[in-house]
Amino acid sequence: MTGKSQDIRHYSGFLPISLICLVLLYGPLIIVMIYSFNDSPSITVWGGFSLRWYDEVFHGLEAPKFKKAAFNSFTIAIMAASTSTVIAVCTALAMLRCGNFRGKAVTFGLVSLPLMVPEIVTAVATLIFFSTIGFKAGYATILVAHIAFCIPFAYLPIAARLQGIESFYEEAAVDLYASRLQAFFQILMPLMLPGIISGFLLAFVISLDDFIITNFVKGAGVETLPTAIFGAVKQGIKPNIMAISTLLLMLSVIFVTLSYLAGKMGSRDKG
Amino acid sequence: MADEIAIQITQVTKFYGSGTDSTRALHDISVAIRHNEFFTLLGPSGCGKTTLLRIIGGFEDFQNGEIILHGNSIKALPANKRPVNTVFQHYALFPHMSIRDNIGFGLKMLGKNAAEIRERTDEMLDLVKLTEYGHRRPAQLSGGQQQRVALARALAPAPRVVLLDEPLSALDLKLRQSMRHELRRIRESLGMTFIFVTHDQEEALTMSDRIAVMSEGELQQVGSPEDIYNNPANIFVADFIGQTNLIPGIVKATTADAAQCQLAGGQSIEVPLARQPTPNRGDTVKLSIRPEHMDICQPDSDSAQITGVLKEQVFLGTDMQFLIEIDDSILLMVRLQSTQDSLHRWNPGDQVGIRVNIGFVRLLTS
Ligand SMILES: Nc1ncnc2c1ncn2[C@@H]1O[C@H](COP(=O)(O)OP(=O)(O)O)[C@@H](O)[C@H]1O
Ligand SMILES: [Mg+2]
Repeated sequence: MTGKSQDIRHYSGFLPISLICLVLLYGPLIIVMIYSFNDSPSITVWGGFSLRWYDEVFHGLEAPKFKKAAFNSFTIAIMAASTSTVIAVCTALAMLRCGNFRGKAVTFGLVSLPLMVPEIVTAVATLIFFSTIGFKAGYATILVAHIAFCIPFAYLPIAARLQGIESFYEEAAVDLYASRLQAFFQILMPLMLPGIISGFLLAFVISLDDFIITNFVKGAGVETLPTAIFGAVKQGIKPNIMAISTLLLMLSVIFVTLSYLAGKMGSRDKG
Repeated sequence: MADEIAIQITQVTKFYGSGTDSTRALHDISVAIRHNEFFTLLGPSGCGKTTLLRIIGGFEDFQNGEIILHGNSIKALPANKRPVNTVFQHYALFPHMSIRDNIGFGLKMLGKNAAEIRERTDEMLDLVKLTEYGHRRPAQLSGGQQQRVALARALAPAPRVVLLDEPLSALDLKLRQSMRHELRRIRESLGMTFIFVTHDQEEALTMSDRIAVMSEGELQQVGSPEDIYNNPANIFVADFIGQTNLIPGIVKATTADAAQCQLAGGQSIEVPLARQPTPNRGDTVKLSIRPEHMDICQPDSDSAQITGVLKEQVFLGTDMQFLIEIDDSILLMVRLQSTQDSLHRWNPGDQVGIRVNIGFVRLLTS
């Protein structure tokens, strides 16, 4: 803003470094996407454009397996995202609207810790926890684990949103004879909604994509899409895996974009 | 029942925080606000005006004291049970609701039926002259219009008392001045008790029936605008309301109706005591003399009570302001209407006499 010299593009090396980062990040993804349309069964030789691998995903030999896995993934993601969003809203309200209480800092640490702890550690710990209490591995263990690790992802956008909402809106509602519950549902929740949607979508994608924790706690026989893909890849990479990956990627992109847009939505009609 | 008391505040004290890092926001506030009164809390920023308003609204608890609303204690009533509505400083209009829904919100929460809410909302929109704007969102209105919506929203449930926290401070000067009239007009047409907070003394003087001047959490004086202006209870009030000269002096002698005061520089002046308490002989006082209560004359004229040297004159438009130094020690500010005469009669460096309208001089000791 204050002049061209401040512009980051004027630092030498900006362009090559940016290009390297972009290529490393997105190059493989783009190659996977391109080769998912490859007519040849080889994963390295281009044999013309075709949708056969997409057809294979939905109607091929492995289709029932993937369909079952997709069903598990989506139902778990919806339930995990919903539950963790509710918990995240409650946590955000307690953290940001209930004054100071003992253990507030610790609570914040506990809520955001899963973001920092290596996922493999969480995975092992969760597995040990389930086997200690004798919880049989399967669909339910995946769901519980997903709810737990989705909370911080749902919490961040919700808390960020709530932080930006001045407390005078609730005061105005209470001043106008609303009970605390009415003030929440009529005023605060609509104002928080972009954050809530954003948090839900983020949690949904995180749950949908998760591999490590799921793989540890899933037990035999129950698969989600990522574990099913991993299982298939172990027997050799076939182009249909690329097709599934591309579909999953598109879905993630859509959800992350929606989450971003939901977050933006609110800042427009504020003030 | 013009003198019925709307709100009786008795010995309210408020501390924020606890233990060693607590701040005293209010100390021993007692005041009675009359029914149908435009009552203003006036004081510099940080003196506790908002705190007192929030205590009345039910948004802050307090350590000590009692608040009676039309005969009933409201100390234990939560904010949403008090028949009191607030116009918030930043309006706090609900951004996701239309203007109509904002105005109707209080009635809805009170459980009124849709027809009644619609009728009352129409009435309020009409009152604040925003009939065509009912379906807009707050963000689509100008600051002045939002301000009027905030007012309409607070008035719609017909509360017994309306609290207004610096509602005009975010508006520009022109709008602020027209809103002053609007506020008075609206209050008079509805007959409600308004408690209005401001740090702007001009706003307070022009709008209020009575003013409570506050400083550092304490009530300094309660009275009509004229009373506060002409008979300030202490140095703080004299200095805060309007402009005044505060001249240090000593009471040399008193009679039944006048006090002989010696100014710091050595000159003396006789001050009538008809409208103020009699000081003790030997008291050190401040003489409060407003700039417009003095006139400039020839130094040797009979009517000159004080003499000094003209230091500076400033043209202010309708007025001329003169700075006159007395006995090389005190600077007096004198204000005269700008006439051809006052513009060119004296020059800096001239020896001049000052004629004091001594009926308006006040002797203040604290
Ligand atoms: N929530 C709070 N916590 C601690 N101190 C506060 C709080 N609100 C106000 N104060 C302090 O109380 C005093 C009075 O504040 P306030 O009532 O807002 O003054 P005013 O409205 O006259 O500017 C100030 O010293 C202020 O710093
Ligand atoms: Mg204030």
